[in-house]
Amino acid sequence: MASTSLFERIAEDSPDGVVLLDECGLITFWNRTAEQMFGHRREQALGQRLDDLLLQPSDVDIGAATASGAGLQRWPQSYEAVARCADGALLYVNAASRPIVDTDGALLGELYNLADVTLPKMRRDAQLIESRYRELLDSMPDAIVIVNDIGRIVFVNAQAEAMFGYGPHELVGASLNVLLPERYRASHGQHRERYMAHPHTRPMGRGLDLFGLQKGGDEFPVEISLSPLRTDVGTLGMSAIRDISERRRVERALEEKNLELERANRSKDRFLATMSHELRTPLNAIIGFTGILLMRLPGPLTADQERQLGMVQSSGRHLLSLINDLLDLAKIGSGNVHMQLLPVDCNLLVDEVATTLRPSASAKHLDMTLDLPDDSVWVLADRRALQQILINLANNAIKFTERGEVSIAVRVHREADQEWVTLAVTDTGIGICTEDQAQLFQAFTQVGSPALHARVEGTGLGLYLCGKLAAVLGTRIDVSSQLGQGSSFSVTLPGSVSG
Amino acid sequence: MSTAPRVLVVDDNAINLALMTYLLDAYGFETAAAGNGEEALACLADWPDAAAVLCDIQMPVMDGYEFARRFRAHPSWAGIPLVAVTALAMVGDRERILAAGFDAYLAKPIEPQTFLVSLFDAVPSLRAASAGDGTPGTGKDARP
Repeated sequence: MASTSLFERIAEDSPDGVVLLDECGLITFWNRTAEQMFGHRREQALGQRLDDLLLQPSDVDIGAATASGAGLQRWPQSYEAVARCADGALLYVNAASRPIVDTDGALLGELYNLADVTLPKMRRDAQLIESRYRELLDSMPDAIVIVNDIGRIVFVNAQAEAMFGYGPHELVGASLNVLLPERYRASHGQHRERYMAHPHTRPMGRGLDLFGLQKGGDEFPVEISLSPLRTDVGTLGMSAIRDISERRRVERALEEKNLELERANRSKDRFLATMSHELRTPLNAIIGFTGILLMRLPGPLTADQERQLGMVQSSGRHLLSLINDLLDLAKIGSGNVHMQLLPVDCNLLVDEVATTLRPSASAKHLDMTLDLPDDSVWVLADRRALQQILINLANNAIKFTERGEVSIAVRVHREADQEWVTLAVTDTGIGICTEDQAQLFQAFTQVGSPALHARVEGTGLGLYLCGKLAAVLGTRIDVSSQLGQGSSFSVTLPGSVSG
Repeated sequence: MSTAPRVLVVDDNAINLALMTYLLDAYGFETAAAGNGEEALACLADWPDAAAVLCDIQMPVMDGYEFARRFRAHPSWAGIPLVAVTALAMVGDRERILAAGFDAYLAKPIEPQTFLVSLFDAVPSLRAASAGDGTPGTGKDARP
């Protein structure tokens, strides 16, 4: 077979890939250029069909085509095709085929010349895109990379070159893979081909963890939006890429900060719980034994002893309310009050508060009256917080009223399509002068005369706490008062449909 | 043999124990004191007919939660009311304690003048057992 050997020697060094098929269409010759071009070694190629070797079943979908699988052709053919290399990359190929016939005209096989025209075609496409879009795309804030149907980079704007660390035009013609971390390359190729089969605009993909790869080998998180770009040279894929390293860094820092705050809050909670427990334990002995003595369980008391024990008892109770108020404030201060905003039946709530406080009102011969609407009125609030506000306000009203009445009213009014409900505690007590009203809601402030303070017990935290609780509920406490006439404290909340 | 209803008081704080037993004695109950859950279980072994157990929560050796678990697991004590008397008085403590198997919850500090009334409201069977209404007078130390 000297003639074959001569052919082989000539064909081996051809600048084209030279492939010989036998009468059944199987490869019998595969030159070195074809090996280099497609990455299939001669041993792998021999005996295969050209289509099987250079196409994958899925490639039919992307419109790639090489030598027809219909069988050997009797006429010379010349066409452009897309071929897939052993590593999965795609090439543009100019294919020329010629039938081989014996002297009788019988078909012996086919001879293929395959030329890789990827780079020249890419250069043409790149020039076209360059001249048409460079100015526009360089003016965009995002990095832009345009890729053709075989996954090669056709255009990169200046922002993208800077982001990925490449020089001007350095990326043109390269596979998009160079911008991707190794681990994403295989799956990304499939995604891209599916996308190019049905191109559509896709916005920045939040929630997807995507990464870019810099020339120096560093990875960075990115956000990518895709849109098809239809041009004379076919449909290209344009991606706008945003480096989100800074955002990720801020997110991580925020997350850490949140965790830290949570930890700090938890230890503060633990501290408050321990404080509450530890302060109550000795108070139990103080209030308890004082009570036992005052009940005369151990024996009779002199008038002086009774008066003095009474002072111990009220001081103990005062200390307890201080502790309770301070713990409540500490919880509000650390943002640890868990408000449950649910519909609250105001009539029912006011009724309960009145029942709790009626004994102390009657002890001072004060009337406690309620002014409630006939139908239930509902507000959106945290029940416990609202109850605490009402109890504190009503308690104050009783404390600072010597004769007359304390009334709690529920009133409904409409304003701009929203129903509002006002809960007001009104007394006929000593009242507060205008100058003092401004200081009412400050901590440890008790307005009025020193003589009054001596007579009326208070922690100086009650209204301060009410104000804080109201703020957490998104509202405030309103005051109207006239010295010597009485005071009215009210809180207004948005109405709610019944629970 | 005393016929007075028996109440077991469990608290690790000696002063609190003294306060509670003094008060209960004054109201005609027979009391026993235990310093933690483990001691309380031992006491109950000798006192299966206790009218109630008043128990602190935070105690060394065995706390109130663990005591409640074991107490509830014991069939012969099934009828004995278990009342928490505790300085745990933050939001959620009452719910947590009742969920742990206590029949009632009373927060410290207690007010002796109203404590028995609250206790009887929480455990009505005790009121019947004491044959009283929450006023002292039947105890050895009580003076009208």
